[in-house]
Amino acid sequence: MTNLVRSNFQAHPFHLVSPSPWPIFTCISLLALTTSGVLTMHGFSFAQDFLYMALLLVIFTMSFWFRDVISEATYLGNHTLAVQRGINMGIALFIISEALFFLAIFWTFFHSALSPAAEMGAQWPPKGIDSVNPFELPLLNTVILLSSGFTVTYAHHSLIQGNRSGALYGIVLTVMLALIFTGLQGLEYTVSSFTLSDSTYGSCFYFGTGFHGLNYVAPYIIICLFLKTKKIYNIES
Amino acid sequence: MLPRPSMLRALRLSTGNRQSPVLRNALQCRFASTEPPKLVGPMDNAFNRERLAVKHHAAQSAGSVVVPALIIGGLNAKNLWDEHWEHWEHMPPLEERVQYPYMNIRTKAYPWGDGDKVSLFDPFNQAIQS
Repeated sequence: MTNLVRSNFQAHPFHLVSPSPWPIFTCISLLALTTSGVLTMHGFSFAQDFLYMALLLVIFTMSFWFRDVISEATYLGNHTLAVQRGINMGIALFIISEALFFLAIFWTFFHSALSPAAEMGAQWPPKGIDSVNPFELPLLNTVILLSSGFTVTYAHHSLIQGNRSGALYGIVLTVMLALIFTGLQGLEYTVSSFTLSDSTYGSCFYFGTGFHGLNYVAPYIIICLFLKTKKIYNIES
Repeated sequence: MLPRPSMLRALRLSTGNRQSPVLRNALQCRFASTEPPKLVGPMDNAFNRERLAVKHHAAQSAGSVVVPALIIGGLNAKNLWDEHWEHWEHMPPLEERVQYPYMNIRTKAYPWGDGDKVSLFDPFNQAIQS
């Protein structure tokens, strides 16, 4: 085999990515997002407008990058078994990092709850704070969250089976459940008798549930992008 | 799938001896689908076998608990919601409750609205510091 012929073949199963503008584009938009977020929290003028623009920018870069990954995975056939394993590992690492992030949030809660400060009456919830009943809206929201996990898996499995309408219905149901979840969480915030400025109990509660809600809104955006993608690509087999 | 063989081994070790065959099968079927179908048509290689196994696994999903769980959860929440407001009506009004020094802390204004209320503020439920 001559070198010329050999150069037509790839002697390894990995995907060597071609030059792409999206990594630097994503970096810049994420930097804009964090910067404008910090400026917003410090009350700078017009920072909030920049926050929304940066958020839009992040969503744009995400959708463009996803579009490229989809064509690499399908039309270009770059996702070999080795590449799939790498993607699985990436997702596993991402979930581990999320779990550790929430471990930190739970740590703040246990730190404050297991030995409550004397200034707060040495009791938990602190004196004067009416805690939320976990078996009311939180339980319902847990059921909704797990159900949305089912509907999105149903959509995924329908997609694998080549069942287009099943995939679309699954995703639409997931988006609806996500909206209901977020709405109920908003309701919970409105009717709770304490705010995020009410002692370490309020801080822990809104820190944890706020980030949990954010973790639900981000996949919701991603799923909406997927819904758009599925409308473009006709996967009826 | 990366973790499948090791997870399967761990499951076998943990469930192998102690539980009934029925439970063991139910626990293990998530990772080891029964009788993977034979390849017909596409070339017999690792990639196509993996795709076929994934497709086979995807056919085995069941979510019959979802709708009843949602209904029961919703009814339960409605019930407790009514109880909560029933209880709330018998509590002293907000302005008569004690404002301990660790409540309603303000070190600087919130970056929204008038800077003194949380974003989903409801005067019926939350006291404001005057």
